[in-house]
Amino acid sequence: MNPTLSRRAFLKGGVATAATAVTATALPGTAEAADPGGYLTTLLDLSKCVGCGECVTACRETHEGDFPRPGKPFPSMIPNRVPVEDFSLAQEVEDRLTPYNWLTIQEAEVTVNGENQTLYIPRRCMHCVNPPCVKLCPWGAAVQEKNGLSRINDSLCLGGAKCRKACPWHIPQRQTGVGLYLDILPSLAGNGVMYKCDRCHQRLKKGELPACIDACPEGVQSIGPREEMIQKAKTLAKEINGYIYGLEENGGTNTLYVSPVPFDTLHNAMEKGPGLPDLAPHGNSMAMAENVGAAMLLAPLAGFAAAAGRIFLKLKQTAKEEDPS
Amino acid sequence: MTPLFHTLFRVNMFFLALSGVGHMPIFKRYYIADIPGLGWLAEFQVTLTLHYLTAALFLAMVAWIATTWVLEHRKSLSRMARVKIGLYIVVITSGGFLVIKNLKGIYLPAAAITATDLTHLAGALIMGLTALAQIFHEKTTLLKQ
Ligand code: SF4
Ligand code: SF4
Ligand code: SF4
Repeated sequence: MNPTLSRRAFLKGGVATAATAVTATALPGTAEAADPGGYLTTLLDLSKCVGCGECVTACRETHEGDFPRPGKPFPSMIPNRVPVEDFSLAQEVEDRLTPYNWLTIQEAEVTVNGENQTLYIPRRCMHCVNPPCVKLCPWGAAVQEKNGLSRINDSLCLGGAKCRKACPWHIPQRQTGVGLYLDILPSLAGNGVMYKCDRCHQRLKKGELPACIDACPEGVQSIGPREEMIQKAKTLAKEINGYIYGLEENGGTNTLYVSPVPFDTLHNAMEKGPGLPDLAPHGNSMAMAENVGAAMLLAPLAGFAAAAGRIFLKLKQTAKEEDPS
Repeated sequence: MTPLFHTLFRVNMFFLALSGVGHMPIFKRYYIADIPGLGWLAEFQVTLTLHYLTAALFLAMVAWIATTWVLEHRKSLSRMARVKIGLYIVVITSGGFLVIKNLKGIYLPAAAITATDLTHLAGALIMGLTALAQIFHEKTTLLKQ
């Protein structure tokens, strides 16, 4: 389970406590500038991956305790067109992302140096530098840690799936019939919990590597601060005459893929669909919030200046009328 | 406040509130986004942009009102006005933190994010209810006269 704010504490405290906590003293001291250049970033050398699936198995074993255990029957949904998403009977599925499978291997038949070859692409959350899944969650259930990784708090998530829509790769996967919504208005709001790779944040806190990195017999992944990994990715790309994905995609991600073939070739050659992310050149979905957000500070200043200017002119006019000489 | 300013303030407030509610995935669920012309309510990029732009105009207008009040009027405030100002402060401050949170490279602890989201939501809801109560009160007073 993801800690931080437990479901019981949340229900007990409710809105009032949360609101008081914030408006009193909590906020001003809590917003901190982090260093995206130091965000924990993984580099995946696709020329090394043999598609053995050891990483997938390791991920599943490590996170078995985090997977959903929905009670059945599910509460009836109003309106009844709200989709039930139930993977509890398909827990063994490994060929796509599901709430029970946070890492999947995609395949692409491509030509490398004139030879036909299958490239294997391990896929899971990209851990975006400015993650829209986290920033646009209306509920604060998705969080980004100081080291840049993002994860969804399964005690708070209501399963509205906005994160999946906001994510350019539609990574988070929903399981109906679990989570906080069951304790609120299960028929009217919410629809379960969203699940995705949490970069093994609990292993990281113990000083261990993420399970998928640890388990890989081919050393496909390496991990380190973003700036360092970017340099490493660039050097590797130069060596193999290859290409990098993740430098700019969605404003930059804390996952960098290096491939011997261009990413649009991989993108075109692989199967895509629900639970099977693409490799398209996605623009920064947080660009508006980053640009307009910074400029927004000027809005009250404009209002202040306009009002002060108007009053100043009025006073000047009055003074003129009173003293026409 | 001129009638034009007043109308602009109210229209802007309506879209600010509408795009704010659009942050929760409910317009699609409850068929509202299916109404021709309202599909955009389910597009979070559109509602987010609209929320930012209307919030900027709202902030500018509030700053205009506050400056004018401080420099020109300075009458004592009614209880209702004081409640409204309190709510504005809560919603604007929490909204400001959410805007900062959305910038790149900003770290906010999980509990603070949730609390800020809830404060913003609760503040805006109470603000809406207060406005409705006020309209209702004005209407009934008018009817009685
Ligand atoms: S890849 Fe998707 S789920 Fe992962 S951090 Fe980015 S937006 Fe969120
Ligand atoms: S980092 Fe952890 S949670 Fe993410 S894919 Fe690897 S093993 Fe799974
Ligand atoms: S364990 Fe390593 S080689 Fe095997 S599929 Fe995963 S990344 Fe590829």
